[in-house]
Amino acid sequence: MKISIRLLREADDRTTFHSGDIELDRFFEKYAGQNQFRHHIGSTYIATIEETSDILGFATVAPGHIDDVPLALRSKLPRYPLPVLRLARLAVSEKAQRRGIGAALMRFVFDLALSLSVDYGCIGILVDAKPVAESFYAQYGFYPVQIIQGQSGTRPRAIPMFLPIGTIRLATKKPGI
Amino acid sequence: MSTQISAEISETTKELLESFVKNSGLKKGFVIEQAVLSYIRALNQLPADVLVPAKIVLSHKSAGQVVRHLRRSPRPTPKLRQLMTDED
Repeated sequence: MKISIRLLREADDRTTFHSGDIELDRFFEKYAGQNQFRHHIGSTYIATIEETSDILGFATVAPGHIDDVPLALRSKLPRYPLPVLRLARLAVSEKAQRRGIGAALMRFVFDLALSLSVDYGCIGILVDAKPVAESFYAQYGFYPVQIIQGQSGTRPRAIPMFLPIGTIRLATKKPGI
Repeated sequence: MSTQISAEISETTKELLESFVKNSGLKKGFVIEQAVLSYIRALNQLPADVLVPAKIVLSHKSAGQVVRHLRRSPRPTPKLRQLMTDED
């Protein structure tokens, strides 16, 4: 089974996707398209089997920036906002779970952040993790951060977690290189 | 009653607006007000939980941790290393 990951298209049928999480399914069916095609405030990438149009999972990302870092902490950093890639939602279809789709989507998001860091600037990935998914993200090195402004409005309340771009870049290098 | 506002916009948007009002015969103020109302209406159609805030302000402790990791990144976990070195 060859999995391919690509940007959501307007013609993609989002009505049959079921992850087992009503909030994620509602978002994917009703709002992922609006966010991307109408408001341009986020993009959704989908995992499909190359031979079919079945959607196995999706990841929604949006640009963000860490702002108002206290001067005392900035040291030599400029007073600009620090750009991040925000992973707002990630879900895998019930019928495709435990087949590496989540990992494939994560790899795609990591590669996207690496390429953004070169092309545009990105200091890391901030994920709005569902409480049940905290350990999934922690295994990749994401750690919880406390947000005082700009918290995701999802319910149950998301746990914001961060992974620095430098850590992702280090992971691409084979040991000893 | 009406009031006056001013705003910085791009040259391209200004040209688009000028061209539109010239061709349509509508007043510039009317077009701008309708555009602003349409934009706000469209955003209001999205439930608050769907919007992903772009500006993130971290607590002092978390901001300090992030800044430290900009200078010295934590070592990747075995799982991350495995995922990122997998050829497929």
